[in-house]
Amino acid sequence: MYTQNFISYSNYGYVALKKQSTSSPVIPDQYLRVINDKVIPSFNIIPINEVAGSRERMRNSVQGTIEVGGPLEFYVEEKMIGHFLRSVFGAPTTQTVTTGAYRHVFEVTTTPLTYTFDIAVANAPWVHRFFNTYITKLTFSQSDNAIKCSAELMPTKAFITARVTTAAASGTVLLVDQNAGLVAGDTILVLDQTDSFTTKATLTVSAVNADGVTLTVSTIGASLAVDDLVVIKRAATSAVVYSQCQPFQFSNGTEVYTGADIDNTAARVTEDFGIEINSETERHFGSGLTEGDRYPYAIVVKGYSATGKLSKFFDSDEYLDKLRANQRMGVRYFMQGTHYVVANSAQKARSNFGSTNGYYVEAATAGKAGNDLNITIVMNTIDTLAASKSGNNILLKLANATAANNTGTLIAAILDALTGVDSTANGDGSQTFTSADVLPNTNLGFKSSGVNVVGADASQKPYLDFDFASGNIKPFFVNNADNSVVMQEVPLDFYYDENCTNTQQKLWSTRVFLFNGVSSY
Amino acid sequence: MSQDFEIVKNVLEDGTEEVHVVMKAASKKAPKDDEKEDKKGNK
Repeated sequence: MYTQNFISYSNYGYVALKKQSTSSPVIPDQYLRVINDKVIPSFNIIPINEVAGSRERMRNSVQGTIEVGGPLEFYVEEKMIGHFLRSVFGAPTTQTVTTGAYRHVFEVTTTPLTYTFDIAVANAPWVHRFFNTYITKLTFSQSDNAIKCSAELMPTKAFITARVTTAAASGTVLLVDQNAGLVAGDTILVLDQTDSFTTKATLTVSAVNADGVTLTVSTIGASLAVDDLVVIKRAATSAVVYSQCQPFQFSNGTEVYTGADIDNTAARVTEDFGIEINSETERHFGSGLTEGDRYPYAIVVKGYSATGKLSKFFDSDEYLDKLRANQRMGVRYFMQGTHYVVANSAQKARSNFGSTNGYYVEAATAGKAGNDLNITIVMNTIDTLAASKSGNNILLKLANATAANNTGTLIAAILDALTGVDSTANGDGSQTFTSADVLPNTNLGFKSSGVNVVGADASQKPYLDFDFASGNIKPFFVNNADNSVVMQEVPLDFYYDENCTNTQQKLWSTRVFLFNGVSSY
Repeated sequence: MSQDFEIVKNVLEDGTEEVHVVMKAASKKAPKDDEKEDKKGNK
């Protein structure tokens, strides 16, 4: 009678992850509910064919390099998605909105960050570990009204199994053919090579030697033979605990906005959407004397780009006209959770300028919408302090010769005269502002220095907001088919917002705002 | 620190608001508080 070693049912599996702060793997301890995983280490085998004096072909093989990669698919909720965004974009700017509620702003940085993933397959007593993992693509879509993400993982290396290379029955030194991926604190199982399942020993790793093959472990109390298998023990069922919320929805949960620029948009009904964020990377393989050297020795990060789409039935030529004109537009995909993070009061977006005698600017109305107010500071061509406001865009022009014409008091006075925005001098308002205080376009609540207050609605619900500052429509058209509603599938390319004729350009392509109760990523 | 100034505001056809400061001669007195209130009240 056949006896199953373990239950092969996939729902016993799990995915755990943990951010790395260095290139060393860590032990994952945050669990992610997934729809499926298709991460594959390709243990390439290279056939060798040689002429060798007989009809029978002289066929042989050598080990090839090992490329690891593949997608994880999961529903998007407000907490765990932050890790995937952190990997693609780099560390976010995290702002405390109110006690227990945070806004994380992800921008394209030069340092995408890595993660260690443990994937337990079915109810196997061990996990497969993937480490120094980059996220190279995030694809967002909706399926049956739930927002889904497919995250393309590119681990640098994996620890699937290792082999014992020297028999051991005592002591604390275990020699294996690959120790890369193991971490002090890991619990490992040594499996009998005869069935690759029976556990001969359960050991705790206390040190992983840099030679790539030596482990210091808890006392070995069993006879371990050459070629016995070493695997990483899976977490106990009681330890697999999820800190996740309900997935974002499309209807009653997502809104798509477009407008002349990203801070002046209006909601647009769409029937479907898509976002694809790409972080280009390249594997580099090198020489080495251990099994672990078959993996890339480095993954080089290249460029960032993003595309998207929106769909709606054909009832105007607006999108075709914008395509024809290559017209830029701000595009916002906004997803909102159903329950507030904390019961906060509404607050006004605000930023401070200068020091104790400078001034601050804030939205006249409390609420999240105030975060769209933005200010650009330039030098005027004349010696007059002036300002203008169009929609949410404020342009402040400092007098170009007399610093005394640009005091905190005066600036606050003219900005306060604009509709929808309040401004007040700090201290005695005596600080003067000069060409050193010219400022590229900056949203209230997100100035790079000084005190900021993030605008928030009362009892703000969690949100995931993708802002693309310069979306251009890619070629598409509308055509007839028998007995059908003519649809517009509008593909979008998201560009860096730069326009030499517009001083209020954003100078970025993408910002992702994540509002939740997680204090840091 | 007190400065004599006046704020001039225009609203263009497209809704854009423009404001600028007109500095007054130092001998003139500062705007009265009720004048400032009027300006704020016109927002």
